[in-house]
Amino acid sequence: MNLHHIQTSAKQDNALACCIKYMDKQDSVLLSGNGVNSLLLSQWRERLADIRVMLLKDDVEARGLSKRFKDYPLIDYDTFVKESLTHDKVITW
Amino acid sequence: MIVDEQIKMKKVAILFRRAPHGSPHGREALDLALLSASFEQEVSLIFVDDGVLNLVKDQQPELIGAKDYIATFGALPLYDVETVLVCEESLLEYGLDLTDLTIEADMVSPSLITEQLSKVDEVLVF
Amino acid sequence: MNSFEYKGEQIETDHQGYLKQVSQWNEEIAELIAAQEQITLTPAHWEVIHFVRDFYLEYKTSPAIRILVKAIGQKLGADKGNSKYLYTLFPTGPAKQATKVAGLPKPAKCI
Repeated sequence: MNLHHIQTSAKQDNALACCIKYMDKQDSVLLSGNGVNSLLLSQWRERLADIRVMLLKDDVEARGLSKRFKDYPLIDYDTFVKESLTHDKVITW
Repeated sequence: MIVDEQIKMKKVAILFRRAPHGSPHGREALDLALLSASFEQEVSLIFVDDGVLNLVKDQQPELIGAKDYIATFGALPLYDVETVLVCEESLLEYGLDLTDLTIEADMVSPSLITEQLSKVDEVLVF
Repeated sequence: MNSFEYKGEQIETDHQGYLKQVSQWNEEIAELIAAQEQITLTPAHWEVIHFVRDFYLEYKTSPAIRILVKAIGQKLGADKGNSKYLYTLFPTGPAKQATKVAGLPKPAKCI
């Protein structure tokens, strides 16, 4: 199982689209930086609906989006490190 | 002398997803591929999305002041890089087929690329 | 900027003595670079120099040592495709020295 890390928003770069297309649906996705913004868009929420998604807490709070993303797991850096160890590898797109 | 060190053989996949010449990504990806291969890592290259445009033949990057790393793809067999996977959907999207490419490659489905991403030890995306 | 003079012309090099312009090279310049490296060029040297230069002109990259050894073995025979032979020709590192004499950029991460 892989952990896919996306740092850019779907409007800015094709990373998320590319990741979703080629990832195993058992894998997990971590959104950080502007990557969290993609979930504001309904089309991307839908495309990620059946995938385990995590958001980096600081990046969500820094952008004032905590309420909008209350249904998603918000993780801190320590948890990020733990997650990267429980997955086979991290793929940064 | 690095040459004599024993380095554990790893399976490394290098994925090209961006178009050539607009950014240094493609060249850096290929540099890393050759470097990894010369240290006897098992390297595979994967081309998806805009990345397939790296392999279009008859490119002349020097005309726009870019380095011609495209010629370097031809050296891959000497570096024992034998696995070169190109996404058939991405090729189709750009109206390309294998005869348009500068090197020999395997045209594969997205699910085969998913499989490759799972079975290697490391994936580096450029 | 480092440089040396050849027939009244300044030939630019990087700080380690590799030519800046691949196209400025010729066999006389090779002799000059070889002299700086304290190598007297023999036909065996020229065979390797032309090989790495052709490699570069085709693939636009200088071969790493392992690849040089292998590709020379394929083209010039197994007795020449080994690092011991290449080290006798280019004592401080075949890829490094042969590319320098051949007027090519320094190969990445090589000896």
